[in-house]
Amino acid sequence: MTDLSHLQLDMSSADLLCDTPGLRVSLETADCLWACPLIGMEQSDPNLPAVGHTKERNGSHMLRLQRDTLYVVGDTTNVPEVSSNAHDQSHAWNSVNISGEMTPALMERLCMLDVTGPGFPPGRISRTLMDHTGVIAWHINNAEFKLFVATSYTSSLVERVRQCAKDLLALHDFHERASSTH
Amino acid sequence: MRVEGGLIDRARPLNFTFNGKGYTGYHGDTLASALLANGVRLVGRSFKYHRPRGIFSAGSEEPNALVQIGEGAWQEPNTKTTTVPLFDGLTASSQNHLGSLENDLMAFNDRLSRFLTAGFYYKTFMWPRSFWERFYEPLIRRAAGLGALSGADDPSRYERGHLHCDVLVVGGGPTGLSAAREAAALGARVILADEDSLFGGRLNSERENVEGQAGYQWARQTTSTLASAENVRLMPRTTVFGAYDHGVYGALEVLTDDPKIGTEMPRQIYWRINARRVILCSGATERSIAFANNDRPGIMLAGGARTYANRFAVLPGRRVAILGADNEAAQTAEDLKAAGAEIVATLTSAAESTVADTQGRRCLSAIKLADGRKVECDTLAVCGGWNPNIQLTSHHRSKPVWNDEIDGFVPGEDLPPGMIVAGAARGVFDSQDCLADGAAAAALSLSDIAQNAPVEAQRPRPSVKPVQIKTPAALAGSGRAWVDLQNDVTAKDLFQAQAEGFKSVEHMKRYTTLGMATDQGRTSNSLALRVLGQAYGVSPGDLGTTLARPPYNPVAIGAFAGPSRGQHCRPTRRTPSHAFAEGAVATFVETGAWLRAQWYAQDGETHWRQSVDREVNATRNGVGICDVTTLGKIEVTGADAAAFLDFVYANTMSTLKIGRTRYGLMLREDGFVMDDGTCARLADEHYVVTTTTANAVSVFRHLEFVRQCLRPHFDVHLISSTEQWAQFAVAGPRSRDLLQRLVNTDLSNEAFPFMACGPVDVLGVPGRLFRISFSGELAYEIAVPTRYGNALFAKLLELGADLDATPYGTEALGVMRIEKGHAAGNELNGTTTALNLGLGRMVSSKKDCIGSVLSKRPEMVREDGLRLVGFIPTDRERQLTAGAHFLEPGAQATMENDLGWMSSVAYSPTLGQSIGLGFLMAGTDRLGERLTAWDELRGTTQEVEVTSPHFVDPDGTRLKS
Repeated sequence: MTDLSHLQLDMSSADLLCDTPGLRVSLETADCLWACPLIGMEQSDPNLPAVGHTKERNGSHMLRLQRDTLYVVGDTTNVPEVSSNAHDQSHAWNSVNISGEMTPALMERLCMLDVTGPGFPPGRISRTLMDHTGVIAWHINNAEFKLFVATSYTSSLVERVRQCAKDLLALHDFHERASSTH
Repeated sequence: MRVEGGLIDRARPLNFTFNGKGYTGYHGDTLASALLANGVRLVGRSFKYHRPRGIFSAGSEEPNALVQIGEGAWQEPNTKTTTVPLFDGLTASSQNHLGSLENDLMAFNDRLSRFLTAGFYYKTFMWPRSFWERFYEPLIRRAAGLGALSGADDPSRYERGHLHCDVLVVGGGPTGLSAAREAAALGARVILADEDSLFGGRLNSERENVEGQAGYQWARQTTSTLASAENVRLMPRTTVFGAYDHGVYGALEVLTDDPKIGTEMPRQIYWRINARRVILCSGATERSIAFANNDRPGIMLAGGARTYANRFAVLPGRRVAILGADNEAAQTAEDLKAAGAEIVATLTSAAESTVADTQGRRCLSAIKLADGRKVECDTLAVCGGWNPNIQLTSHHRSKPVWNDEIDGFVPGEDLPPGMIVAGAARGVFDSQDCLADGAAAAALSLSDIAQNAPVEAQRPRPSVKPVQIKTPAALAGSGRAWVDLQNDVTAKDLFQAQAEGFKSVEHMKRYTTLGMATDQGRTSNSLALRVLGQAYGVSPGDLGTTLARPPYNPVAIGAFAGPSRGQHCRPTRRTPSHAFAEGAVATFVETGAWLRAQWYAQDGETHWRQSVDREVNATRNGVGICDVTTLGKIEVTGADAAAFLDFVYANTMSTLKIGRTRYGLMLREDGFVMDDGTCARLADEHYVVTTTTANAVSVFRHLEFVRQCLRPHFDVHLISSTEQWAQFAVAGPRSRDLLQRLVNTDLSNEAFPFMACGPVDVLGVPGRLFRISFSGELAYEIAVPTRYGNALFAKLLELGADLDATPYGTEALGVMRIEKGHAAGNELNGTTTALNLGLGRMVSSKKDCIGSVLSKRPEMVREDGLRLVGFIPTDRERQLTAGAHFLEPGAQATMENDLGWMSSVAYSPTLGQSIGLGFLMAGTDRLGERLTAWDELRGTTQEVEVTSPHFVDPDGTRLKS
């Protein structure tokens, strides 16, 4: 061993893609994301969120994307039912976080979910497509979403989200100019 | 001529050009209204005969006034002047003429019109047959057409999006506004879309009062109320162009036509609207009347004339004659007179005479009446009645039905699910009735989904009021009477088609091209049927009608593509070492969605082979490093993981010891090879399976199918970890030396032998190490969590600098696997068996597995069947070619003589010659024989020698060293 220094991560913990009063988009590593098979468990356990839903327990978020797998964001010891089967997926995903009043306008350009209606209210989670890129969309709060994207696809999605945000802001300015002229 | 009033903003003048000449208009104008205001009446030439054409309408039904907007790469042909809002700097030019617009040399076509009737192409250009594509068609296309594309990439940007609503109201006229208002009050999520920039529809064009105020003011106020409602989304300049399955509607929102702005933001957005209910309030389109020479500039629809006068404050002419429906004619006369026009004739049913012909060279100058009188005028406003806009109702194949009362087609009963039609679109033309009908339709539509109960669902809806006096479709006269202005189809063409047996409307349409232009026959289809009905004394309903298809209005292909163009056509995946590879100026290759380094050229290397040969030699003589993250990786866990893998692999995995890896082969149900890879056992109930890059997704899907459907009782779980781990091949005789500098695990042959695996600490990062080899050299694959990948790649090269550590790409990877005789995608192509690949003994006979039974079919186990073997050219200077077929020397190239094919070839720097892998009948029995390799595509034939597929280290000494 000639060098015991730690390897460096190739991405900073957060990268701000857009930061305006109406829209904030950031890219983060999906730290502490675990895939937990529900092996030998009652899959309709009321302590677990239903498929397509999320639940918080002691600061850890349980994301139920499918019947037999639970994703946990945070400390898996808070979800002892699955902690022994947890697979680290922190490096498999990055997250794009979107917030601000223009979030619905951005989201409706990116994906087919009903982001402002009863089809996909806060607390829901879904696998979906953004253009041709698969993502896991998590509706956290009103006008706040977290999108998990596979690491290898991140640059494609980020480029798309960044351009879309830029266009949206340009359109906003265009309407502002038009109304002020009027 | 500009007059007082209107809904334009005179405080905001706008400059524009048409055919290079500068003009001024106002904000609120369309290009058409601004041209008319500046006295421009001739705006284009007709499609076939190059007849002078002017502005015929004031809406999207316009068949005549098509121009080219913009210049250079921005230019957009076939744009309707009637739908383009004027903007400062707009440049427009006329199209489809040779020479100037005023003196079009192609106008001689009009003199040949008697020879250019319907079907003349089919009759005239029959011989010689080969001339059609080479000569006739290009000639015809040059002579007749519309505008031209720039030939450059469209610099405009387009966006795409998805919307959801309880109710989509299509059309923002009085009916649509009323429906949206009612639906909003019922608590529904409403989208109101209209192709116009102003909501209000005809209310902006007429001088009538609604609910005690001017119609346009009512529209403005209602729009304002709706705009402030949280549950309403107003979408002006948005055309709902198609009704698709499952309540999805296609809509195109135009944000700007200005190229200056089009660089800053998308110009158009293609929306897919998911609507639970749809209220179609698309209004109606005025129809024309067929009479001799009814196509001259200055002849326009009466409703359009009123729009120009009332909304745009433009008089289409000074001396106006009016022809057609009594009530419309009276209203038109009143409005135009109020605007300052002189009404020189009003030719209603009560008039003593009617129009027999028109005169004027480039514009209308006079009309000739049937009684011989001549009336000088510059404008003729025509109204033949109104046709409901029912196109969207037909997009699910609903057939319109003829309604004698309104003398037009109305929607059939079998509408797209969730759709209700209201207002003029169903034949209710009175504005007050439209308001009531819109509200009633909203209540009915939302009766089962509205939030604000109770809903008065069965509110009475206004009935369709019969048209009192029906306007004739055609007037007697000796000249040509145009029915389809855009495609230059005359009444004579229709009769000719009938006479020649094209009686079905579908046949007539295709024979004459009626309604097949970009306007989709908005002003011509119904007129044609009425003309024929009148001539033959039958109801147009008995003649039938064609069904409208999407799109309602033309949509630019760019809008459908949206942002998915160029490099954004599909997403790309980047490997963990992408940044390093970019820095090393690697050449990349697309493998599926992945971008992989193909080779790393160094200074002085001018040909890819130089780089690849160097990388191969460096690896075989020292150590090479390659990013192999793209291989699929699947974690298989659970008490039944071993039994599960025994079932999905042809060979046995349950006997694999912890800390060991085994090559594995998967078969499909039909017994053919599906994929290969490795299977490593990390713990008693934890395996890691690798797949080929190409089959990563399909193998995972296959395993999930087996788990969920074929072995649901198994305690087994699958997690894809392809993205979680960055994995690098470290290959070559110095690979152990290099890795030993990185990990503190003993990597000696005794402690970590060939096919060993296990967790390792990689400079403080938890990793995995596998002693497996694709190159045939002493080799390892080392994995770390993905985001450490780029750093590890660089670290490996840094630590191996004195070992001549070299990064290698997929090309060198491919060369080395061919040298070693390993099968890859070209061999695992879905048509080969384990036996073909020389892996027949891997299909265990001691257990059941997917594909086991069918892999034993007689044809698949024939002794003389295809076998994977190696090939070298007998002339060492020559290159082998993949795809070549093998023949006995001197045999003819026939299917019967085909002995197999070359699947992969490479230049081997190790052997200094071209080598290949391929499948040959009874191949393993023919080693040393000479055959002919015949490549039909490249037109080459050469002699090859059959060899073992293992060109390098056939006994495996190197990889076990």
